[in-house]
Amino acid sequence: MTAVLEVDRLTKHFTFRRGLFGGEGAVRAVDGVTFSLAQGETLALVGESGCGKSTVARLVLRLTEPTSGTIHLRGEDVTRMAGEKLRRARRNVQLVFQDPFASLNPRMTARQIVAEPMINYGAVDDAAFGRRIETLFDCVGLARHQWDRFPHEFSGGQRQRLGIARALALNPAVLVADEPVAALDVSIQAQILNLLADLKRDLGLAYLFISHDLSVVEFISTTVAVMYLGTIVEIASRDAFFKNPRHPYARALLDSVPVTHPSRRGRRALLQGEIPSASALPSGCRFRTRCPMATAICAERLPPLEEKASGHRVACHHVERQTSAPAD
Amino acid sequence: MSMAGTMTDTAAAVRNRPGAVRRIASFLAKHPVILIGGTVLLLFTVIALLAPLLLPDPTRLNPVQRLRTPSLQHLFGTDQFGRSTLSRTLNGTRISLTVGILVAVVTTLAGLLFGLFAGFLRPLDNIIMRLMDGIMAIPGILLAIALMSLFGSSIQNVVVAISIAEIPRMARIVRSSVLVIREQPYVEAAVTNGTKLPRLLWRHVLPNIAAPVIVQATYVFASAMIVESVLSFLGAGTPPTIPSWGNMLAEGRQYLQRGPWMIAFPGACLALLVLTVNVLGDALRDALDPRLSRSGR
Amino acid sequence: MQQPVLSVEQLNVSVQTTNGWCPIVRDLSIEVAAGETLCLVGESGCGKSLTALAIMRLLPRGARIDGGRIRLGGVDLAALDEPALRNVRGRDLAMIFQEPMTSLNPVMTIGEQITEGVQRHESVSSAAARARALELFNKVRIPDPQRRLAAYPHQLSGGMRQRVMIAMALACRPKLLLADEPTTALDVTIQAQILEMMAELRAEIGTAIVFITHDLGVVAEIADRVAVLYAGKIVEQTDVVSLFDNACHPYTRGLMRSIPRLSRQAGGAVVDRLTEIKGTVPAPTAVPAGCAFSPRCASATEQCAAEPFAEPLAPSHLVACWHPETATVTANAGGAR
Repeated sequence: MTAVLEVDRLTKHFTFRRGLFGGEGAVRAVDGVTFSLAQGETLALVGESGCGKSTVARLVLRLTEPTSGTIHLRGEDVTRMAGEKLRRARRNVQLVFQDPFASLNPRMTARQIVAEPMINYGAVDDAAFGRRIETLFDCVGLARHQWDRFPHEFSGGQRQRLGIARALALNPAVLVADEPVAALDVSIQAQILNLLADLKRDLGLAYLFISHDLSVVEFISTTVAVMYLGTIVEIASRDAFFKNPRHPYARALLDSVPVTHPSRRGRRALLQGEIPSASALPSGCRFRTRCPMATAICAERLPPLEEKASGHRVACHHVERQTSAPAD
Repeated sequence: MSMAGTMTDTAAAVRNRPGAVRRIASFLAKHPVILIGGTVLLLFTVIALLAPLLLPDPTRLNPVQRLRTPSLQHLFGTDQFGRSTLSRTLNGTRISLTVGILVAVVTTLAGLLFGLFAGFLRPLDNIIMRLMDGIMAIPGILLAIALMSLFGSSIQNVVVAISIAEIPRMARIVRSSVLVIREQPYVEAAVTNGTKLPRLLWRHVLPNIAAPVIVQATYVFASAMIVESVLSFLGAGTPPTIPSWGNMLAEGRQYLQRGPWMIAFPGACLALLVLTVNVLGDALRDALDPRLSRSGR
Repeated sequence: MQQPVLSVEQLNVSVQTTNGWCPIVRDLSIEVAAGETLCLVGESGCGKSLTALAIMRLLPRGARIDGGRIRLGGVDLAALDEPALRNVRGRDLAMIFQEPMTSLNPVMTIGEQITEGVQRHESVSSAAARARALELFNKVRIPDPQRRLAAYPHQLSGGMRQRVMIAMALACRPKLLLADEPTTALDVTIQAQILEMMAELRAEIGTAIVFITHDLGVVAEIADRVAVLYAGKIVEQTDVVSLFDNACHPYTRGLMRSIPRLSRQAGGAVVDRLTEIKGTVPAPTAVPAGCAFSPRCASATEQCAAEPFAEPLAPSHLVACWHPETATVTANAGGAR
C-alpha cells in the first residue's frame, strides 16, 4: 500500500518579539514530526491544547509554510510549492473543520458551497455536474430540497454534513478532519462519526483525524499518534496503543478520561502540574516536568522516537525495547 | 450507499423560505425608521426628477417681482433677481442628490479597491495606508477647496474633489473588515478548495463586508451634500449660474433681513435631506449588523 | 428528614423571541440536599444554563421566570428584592461558569477580586481577607499562591483561572454552588484534576452542588444524583448508580448507547458502529406537542401525543415516559466486534 501522505521531520517555528527591546523568541509549535499515511488508513493525532496537532493539519494543507522538513502528497513534494502549482496540488487534500458554522460562507447556498470546489477546477455546470452534486448530498444524508438553503437554516449536524460533502467534492486522497465532532451535540456526534466511518469504508479514504477525545479516536482510527508540545511521543496501531500505551504522558491521558460508571471512580493516578509555555520549553524531554519517571538523563537528552515493539514507536528513555509481545 | 438511515434531520424547523418581496416587506415592517427615511429620500428624488419639467425656469430673471415675500403666487417668494425661490430650491435638489450619489459611488468603488488590496496583499498594505493617512491629515474642506482651485469650477470637479477627501475613511473601513473576514474559516475553506484570488474576493470577501460599507456609503452621501453646499457657499463649488443650495445660501446672506426666505427654504431642505440620509444610515447599521449575528446559532 | 438546601418546584422560564415569549424550561422540579451533588445533564438548548441563572436570579434581559418556586435553605428567592438578593449571592449561593476568562475582571488582579468578594459579605480587615484568599489558593492547589495574588487573569492558564473561580465561589462557604459546565473548555488532564479537587472541597466544606454538563463521563465521576433534561423538561431523575445501571427513559438510554467508550472501560471490545439517535434536538420554538422526544423515539405510540408526567418507577427514580425501558442496561450495547 503506497503512502498518500508522507511527512518527514516537519517543523514550524513562530517567532515573536519580546516587548520593545527584548529581542526575538520562538514558539516551536511543531518540532520534527514524522509520519506517513497509507490509503484507507486513519491516523489520529491526539493531544491537548498547545500540542501542535492543529498546526500539523494546517501545514499538511499548506495553509501555512513549514520552517523545515518535507511534505509529500501522493508522491509530490508540496513543501515549498506556491501559486498555481500549489492550487493544483490542493485537490488531493481537503479539510473538514471543527466549527460547522464558521466554515460555511453565510451568503452561499448549500448547493453553491458543494459545487464551488469543482467549479474552481474547471467543471462546467451540466447534467453530469448536477448528478455529482446529487451523489454528494446523498452520500452525507442531506435531501434535495435543502439545496437552496443558507447555512443558518441548517442544524449543527446538518452543517457538518455539508462541510463533509464539500470536502469530498474533489475526491481527495487525504481528508483532514480537525476535531469534526467537538462542536456538536452528543446525540449528533454519533451520527457524524458513523458517517465518517462509512465514508472511509465505502470510498477508501485516508483520514488525518485530529482530536483530543480518546474515545472518539479509538472508534475511528487505525493508527494513533500522541503529541506533546510539538513532538510525537508515541505512535502505534490503534489496538496496540489502547491495549498497552507506553509513554507516561499517553498513559496519563488515558487515565484522565472520565469513567463510564460511578463504581470506577477514584482509581487512577492523575497528572499534576500544567503544560509548560511553548516559548520556554524544558531542556531534554519536554514532558519531564510532569513525569513521574523523570530522571537526570531526561533533562539532558531529548529522547528519540524509536521502535520499542513491532510497529510501536515511543519517545522515552525509560521505556524498554521489547523483542516479543508484552505480557500485560 | 448505506447512508439512508442517517438522513432524518426532520426537526431542523426550517420552513420554506418566503419570496423576496415578502422578506423585504417584513424587514421594512420591523424597521419603520428605514421605511420613513426611505420614503422621504424617494420623495426628494422624485422632486429632483420632475422639477425641471413642472416648474418654471429657475434661472429666468424677473426684476419686476424681486424680493417678494412668500404668497400664493410665489410659494417660496422670490430672490433679488426675481427668480422663483420655489423653483430654485426644488431644482437645487438635483444638484445635491447628484453630487451626493456620485460621491458615494466613487468613494465606495475607490475605497473598496484600496481597502481590498491593502487588506489582502501584505506588501501593498503599508504603502496604501500611509497614502490614505496623508490625505486624511488635511482637513476635508480645505482639501476640496484647494483641489477646486486647481481643477476649476464644475459639478464633475466638485464630485472628484469631495471624493478624494472621503476615500481614505472608506478604505480604512474596508481594510479592517477585510482583515477580519480573511481569518474566517470559510475563507480558509475556499483557499483549500482551490479558489483563485479574484473569485475569493468577489464571492467570499465582498458579500461579507457589504454591511459596514453600505452604512459608510450613506454617511458619505450626507457628508458630500454638506461639503458641496459649503464649497458653493464659499464660491469654490458649483458655478453660480447653476441653482444649488450652497449658491442660494451664499446669495441670500446679504438679504438676510429683507428676504430671509431666500436662506430659510434651501437651508431647511438641506438640513432635512442630510438628516434623513444620516438617520437612514444609522437605521441600516442597526438592521444589518445584528441580523448577521442573530442569523447564527 | 433534613430540609433540602435547594428546592425548585415547577420552574418555568421563557425567552423572548421575534414571535413572542417562548418557554424554554418547563415545570422543572429538583431538590438538592446538603453536601450532595446533583448533575443537570442535557444537550444544547435544553435549558440547563437558564435554570442555573434563574436560580441565581440573574436571568438576562429577554428571559423571565413564568412560574414556580425557588427555595434556598427554606427562603423563597422570588420574594427577595434586589438588595436582599445581593446578600444571598456570594454568601449562600455561588456560581462558576464555563469560560473563566470572561467571568474574571481583566483589569483587576486576582487578589483584589477575591478580597472584594470576601469583604462584601463579611466584615473583616483587608489583611484577614488576604489571608483567607491565600488559604483558599492552597485549598484549590494553586502553586506559588503569593505571586498569583498579584497576577492578572490573562497571565494565568485556563485551568488556573478555573481554580481561581472556584476559590472565589467558595470563599464565603456557600450553601449551594452552581457550576455551569466548568470543565468543558479545559483539557482532559486538567479536567480530571479540577473534578478531583471539587470532590475533595465538597467533602470538606459540605457545599451542595448543582453541576451542569453534557458529558456523561463527568456525571459518572462526580454526581450523587442526576436529572436528565430534554427540550426543557426533566425526563429522568435518579441517583447516579441507578442511572448508569438502569436508565429507563429512551432518551437517556439512547444517549448512553451513542457515546463511544474506551475499550478498557467497556470490557475490551471496540464497536465499529455507534448506535445513533435519529433526528435532531427540536428548536425551542418548535417543540412537538406531547412528549417532546417522541419524533425520535423507537418506542413511540399514539399515547405519546399526550405529555407524560414524571412517574416514580422506584423510590427516588422519576421517569417521564409512557413506555419506560426497564430491562437492565448491559455494559456495552450496540454491535461489538
